[in-house]
This record gives sequence, C-alpha cells and structure tokens, in this order.
Amino acid sequence: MSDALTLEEQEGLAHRNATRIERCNLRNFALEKAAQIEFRGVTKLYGPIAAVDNPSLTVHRGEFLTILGPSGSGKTTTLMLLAGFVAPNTGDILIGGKSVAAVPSYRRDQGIVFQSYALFPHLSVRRNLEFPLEMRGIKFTERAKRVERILKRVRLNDLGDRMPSQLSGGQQQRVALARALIADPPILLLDEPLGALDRNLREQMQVELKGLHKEFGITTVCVTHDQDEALTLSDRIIVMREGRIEEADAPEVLYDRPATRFVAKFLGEANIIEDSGFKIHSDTTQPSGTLPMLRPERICIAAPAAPKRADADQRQYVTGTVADMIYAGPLRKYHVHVGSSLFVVREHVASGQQIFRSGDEVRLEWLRSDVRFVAT
Amino acid sequence: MNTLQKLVRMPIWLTLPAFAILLDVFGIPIVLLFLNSLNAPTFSIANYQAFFGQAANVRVLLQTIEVSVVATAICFIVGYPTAYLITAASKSVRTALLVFVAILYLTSLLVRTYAWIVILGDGGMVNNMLLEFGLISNPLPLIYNRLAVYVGMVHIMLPVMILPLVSVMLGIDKSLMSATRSMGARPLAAFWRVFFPLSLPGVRSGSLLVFVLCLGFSITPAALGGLRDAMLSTFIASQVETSFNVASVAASAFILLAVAAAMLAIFGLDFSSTQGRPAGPARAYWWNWLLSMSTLARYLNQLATPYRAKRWTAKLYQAASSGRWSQIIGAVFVVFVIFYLLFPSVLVIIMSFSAGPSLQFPPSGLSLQWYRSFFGEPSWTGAAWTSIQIGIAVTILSTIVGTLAAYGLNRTFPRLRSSLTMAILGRSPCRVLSSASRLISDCSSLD
Ligand SMILES: Nc1ncnc2c1ncn2[C@@H]1O[C@H](COP(=O)(O)OP(=O)(O)O)[C@@H](O)[C@H]1O
Ligand SMILES: [Mg+2]
Repeated sequence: MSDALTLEEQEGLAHRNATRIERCNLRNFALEKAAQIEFRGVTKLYGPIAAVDNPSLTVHRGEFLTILGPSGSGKTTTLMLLAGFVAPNTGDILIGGKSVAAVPSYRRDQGIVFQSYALFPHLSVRRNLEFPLEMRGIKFTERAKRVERILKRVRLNDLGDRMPSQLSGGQQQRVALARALIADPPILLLDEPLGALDRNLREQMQVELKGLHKEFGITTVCVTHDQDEALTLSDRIIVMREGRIEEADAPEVLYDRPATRFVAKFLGEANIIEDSGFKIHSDTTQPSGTLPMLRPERICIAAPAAPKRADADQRQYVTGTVADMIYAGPLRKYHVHVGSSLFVVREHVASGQQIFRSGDEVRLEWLRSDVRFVAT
Repeated sequence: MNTLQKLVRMPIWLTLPAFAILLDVFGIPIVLLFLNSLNAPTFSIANYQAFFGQAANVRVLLQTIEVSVVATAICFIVGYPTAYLITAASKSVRTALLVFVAILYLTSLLVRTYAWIVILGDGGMVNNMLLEFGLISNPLPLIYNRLAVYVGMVHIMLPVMILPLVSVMLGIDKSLMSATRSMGARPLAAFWRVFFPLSLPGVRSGSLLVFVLCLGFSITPAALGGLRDAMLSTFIASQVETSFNVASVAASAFILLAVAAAMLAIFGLDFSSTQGRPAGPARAYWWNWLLSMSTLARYLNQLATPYRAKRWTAKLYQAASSGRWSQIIGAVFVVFVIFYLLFPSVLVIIMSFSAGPSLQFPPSGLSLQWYRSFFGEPSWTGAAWTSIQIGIAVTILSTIVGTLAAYGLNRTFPRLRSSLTMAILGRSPCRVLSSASRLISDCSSLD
C-alpha cells in the first residue's frame, strides 16, 4: 500500500482545494485507490466456537468478491467484522493498508445492504436515501440532486415519497442498494442481498447488481449461501467452512477444478466416485488422497447399443441401470446405478432425445479429460 | 369443532365475556351513577355547574392534572433510560431486571406506600440516620409535601412506564441500528434519528397509562402528601364519607373520567409495533413528522451541515474511545433505579421480622412475633385463606376471559382493536367511579 496516500495526506490535500464538491470527489478517489481489505490472523470466538477462525481473506480494489458457505460457516460474522459491528478476539483487519481495529463502524465509510434491508420504517424513501448524505454533511440542494439521480438509476423515480412499507420486496431491495451506494463509499458489503426475493426477481436483481458494480467500480463483498448467485455475480468466490477459507478462486476455476470434495459438493452437484468396482481413466495420474470427480453435465447418457462417437478413444464408457428420472424444465436429471455407486447425470432437453425410465439399461460416457481429482 | 371454528372465524365474539364482566362490574354502576349526576329523571347539569362554581373544586382538579403530568414526566425521564439500558443489556441481565420490575408491579400498592412513610417520616429511616451521624439537628420535612407525593407515585408508576417501553424497544430491529451506524451516524445521532422515533409508540402508551392511572390515585397522595396536595379522587373519597349528596360527588367523578377519556382520545393507545405495519405515512407517523419535519429541526439540521462535513472528513477512519465510561454510568443508573424500586419492598420484609412493639426501621431486634400472631389469630388466617381462594378463582376466570379477549382483539381490525383496547383500559379511571359508587351504595344501605 505504499503507493497510496496516507489518510492524513489525503485530507491535507483535500483542504487546500477550493470547492467542497471537488474536495469530496478527490477524497473519494483517493480512498477508492486505497480500498483493499486484508484479514491478518483474525479470529472471533462465540463461547468455545470460533465463528471466524483466521481466514486469510484479501479483497482487491474494485473486485466483486462473494463469500459462499453453508449456514453457520461464519460468513455473516466475517462481514460484521469488516463492517465494525463485531470486534475480533485476535488479529487485525486492514482497510487500505490501515488497521481499523479501533475504528467504529460510523467512521468506516462503507455501504451495507442488510438481508432484511433495514430501511427506516419511519422515513420516506427519499429521507432514507438522504440519510447517509446528511450524516456526511452534504448540503440540502446537493442531497436532493443526488437522491433524484440515484432514484432514476434504480428505476424508482416516482416512489420517493412512499414509505418503505408501501413498497414491494424488489423495490425495497433497490432502495436498500441505492441507500448503500448514494454516498459513493469505496466499499460495499452485501449480506444475502437477494435471499428474500422470489426466483424471477432474483435473476433480474443479479443483472442489476452486476450493472451497478460495474458502473460504480466499487469494491464489493457479498455474502451468500446461494451458489447460482455466487457463480453469476462474482469476480472471485471464497468458500468458507467452519470459519476458515476452504478455497478461493474465480467462479469458473472453482466450479471446473475444485480442489476439495467440500467445494465440489457445495458448488453445484458432483459425482465423487469412491469405490465403484471399476477404474476411472484419466489423462492425468491420480494424486494420492484424492478421489475422481465428474460434473453431472459432463456425462452423456445413451442406450447401450447406440453407436459410439468418433472420439471414442478419448472417452470412457460404463453401463448402468436408471434409478429414477427427474424432469426440471430445460433439464432432465437421471440417477443411474453403476456398480455400487450412484451417478447423477444431467442432460439438456432437446428434440429427438431418447427418454429413459427407471429400470432401463443405459450406457454412460464422458471424456477422460473431464475427470477431476478432489481431496477428500 | 364446527362451532369452535366459526368462533375463531368471528374473533370479535371472543371478547364478549370480558366485556360482559366489565359491563357488569363497571358499566352498569357507571351508567346509573352518570344518570344520578344529571339528577336523572329531571336532567340538569346543575351538579356540574356547582362543581365548577366552587374555586376549591377547580383548584383540586387542576392540581390533580398537574400532579399527574409531573409524575408522568418524571416517570418518563427516569423510565426511558432505564428501559433503554434494560433493552441493551445481555439476555440474562435483561431477564433479571425485567423480573425485578415485574415483581414490583405485583406488590401491593398499600404496602409500598406505607414503606415510604417509614423511610421519609419525621422519625423515619432517613431522618434517623442523618440525626445519628449528626448531619442535622432537627428532622427534615421529607414527608407530607408535594415532593414525597412524587417520590411515592413515581415509585409505584415506574414499572407501568418501563414495561411498554421495553416491549416496544425490544421490537426495534437490531439491523436498523447497525444500518444507521454504517451510514455514518454517531451513536447520539443514531439514537435521535432512528431509535427514539421508533420507540415513540412505547413512549405514548407508557405515558398515557401512567397519566391515566395517576389521575385516579388517591391512597398514595393522601398518605404522603400534605393537606394542600389532595387529588380529586382523595377529595371524592372524603366527600363520599362526609356528605350524602351522591349526585354532586358523581359529577366530580365524571369530570375526572372526562379528563382521562380526553387524553385517551387525543393520543390514543397503540401497542402494536411500528414495524411491518402498512401504515399510512400521514396518520401513523404524525408524531415523527412533528419531530423531524418541524421547521426548527430542519433549521438546526441545516446549521449542523457544515460542521458535520468538517467532522466527517476529519474523523474518517479514526479510532474512537471505547465508550467504557458511558457503560459504567449506565450500569450505575440502572442499579440506582432498581434500588429505588426494590428498597421499600425489601424494607417491609425486613420490618416484618421486627421485635419491637411497632413497625420501625431499622428494627430493634429480630423476631417472628408478627408471623406468630398472624398464624395464631384465626381471623387473620381465615381472611388470608379467603383471599387465596378468591385469588385463585379470579386468576382462572380472568386468564380464560382475558385470553379469549386478547385473541379476539388481535384478530380484529387494527382500528377497531385500538378502540377496544382503549375501552378496556378506560376502566382505570372508572375504578375511581366504581369505588365511589360502591361507597355510595354502602352509605345508602346504612340509611
Ligand atoms: N451473536 C452470536 N452469539 C453466539 N454465537 C454466534 C453469534 N453469531 C454467530 N454465532 C455462531 O457463529 C457461527 C457462525 O455464524 P454466522 O457467521 O452467522 O454464520 P453464517 O452467516 O455463515 O450462517 C455459528 O455457529 C453461530 O451459531
Ligand atoms: Mg448469515
């Protein structure tokens, strides 16, 4: 962080400048550059349980980072540590290279969207949006201007005078987002931001969220237990397990080449072949302490007598019996007994496809290069 | 089963038993009394004119309102921080504190009033101690004045203020306060801008309850106050005993009831929490509107803007003090309030083991003589047994009727609910009336 100005220097610089607006812009610019988060030996204990157990968490500038994990894995606690609502038992959190251990949440300049949205029920949408600006001492006329701008941006132009209780879930969500973004904070924290929305709305909001992130270029940390959300939104995903980081990487890498069984299972579905009475062939050699893993969509299902493809030499074929078939709109999911293990196979529905029923003999095939090895 | 389901679907009927009992015990006597106050068959407002014609009556009425307002204000000033600290405490501490407050709520009013006489009286505990230490040479006039009335009334009314406040405060979403701070609001700003407005329904309910109950107070002011501190209900009670003009007494009772009714009508009661209620902004948040939109608030807010901007830049990412001192002050305050609430009751318990011939504090020695005489005297034990029997019966009946009513109230429309609740609560000033009517009927049977 040596290239960034210290905060004192930034302020000194800021005060020499003429207008307030300019000063604000400059400060935001400087802080944005400095926005980088680092956890150093942070633990948080609740009684004997370590809710957060020294995760080596770093967040880069402008990045959309998702913390993914099962319930109780310490995601919310991590976010609360970052926001300053919870103090760590040990270790230090650095924001922009500076320790924020003793910095209260109201001096951290972060935008936060809570799972419950936490809109002030006694204030109109407009006054909700004005609140962070007011706390920063921004003048009335400027506040009004910014509120109008952000209302238009989240497509709530006419709803400024409504009370939060008069808005739908999706509208409340957008007000909460707008309120977190309106003061141009360098860091945005989201706690299960789309958890309370129905499926269609959630997909719509994912797009919106992604657009806002790109537009504001704001460093974002998002907590979720929804793998689709994590895969869709993030530049990088951190998978948490029992307060620690299990694995962290870009969504594609994490999904395609998970290092551990936990990640493979948590991020999508996985066939982990333990002891099936047949050997899984692979292009690479199997490291010790690992098991072969196949994603369900990498497996093709066909009748036993169906002609083989041209690249048959690069594939492995096994035969099995269909246990059941689940139809899910664009997808068809089969459970197939092969030897002593149960394979999950996912097939995109297309015309002219043969549909198998439970009890049918089938042949499964996959490319040898699609086999992965995960640590147990 | 079918009829039960139908009943559930028509929840308003479930309140019927409660209202029937209230009507029988309070309603009918009150109507009769009201007709009486209007000189029933002929109907005139002469009694009311007579009441307002006498300067002494008006003075007592105004004094009653004044004492009630001041007592309510003190209850609020002491009760609000206490409720806040109780809410903020950890769960186990909170439960313990609430149990203390609630126990007190259930202790006899008479006993607690009596305890204050023992504490504040000329030969009472405080004066004795001060004399002992040679700090004073003559007893201080601690009792039989307005201050003693307030000390006693606030002591009795404080739980009534604290309990609704705590219930509303506990309902305030914690993440709202976190959100407030994350938006840059310092603790004080977060309190005034978010927590306080959201706790206002509790303030309103608590204050109204305390005020209306204070209006009907007679024992405590009579016992602790001077001759000039009479409340209207004390006045009514003494009038009932001395004069047989039922109609004029009834008129003064109804004037008191009118004051209570007016307060309830103006401010209304609202026990439902603010959150999750699809309330119209204009109606439900008028008090908040008053608070935040008033020109004065706006003006002050504008004045604060440049200061806020300067502070924001200066303090960004700076450490803050740990707030240890405010925690210590808060703890001391709560301990002080709990002491104030519990000490008189504890005192009575200790005095009951006194060996002396009269009740005094500190007791001259310890003995079980009062308990022995209690259990040795058949008339006492008989009375106690009767009390317990009646108590059990009343508890069972009121639990059944009250639960039905509460369920019914909860299921009806909110608007209707608040008026029904008001009607049930309205009985507290009615208590004055019904005791008056009971006294009157006693007197008439003596004739
Ligand atoms: N305030 C608290 N008091 C006690 N235990 C807590 C508290 N908050 C979280 N925990 C515990 O810490 C662990 C992690 O919780 P949390 O961070 O909420 O997980 P997640 O958000 O991933 O579901 C859980 O075991 C939870 O029970
Ligand atoms: Mg959580």
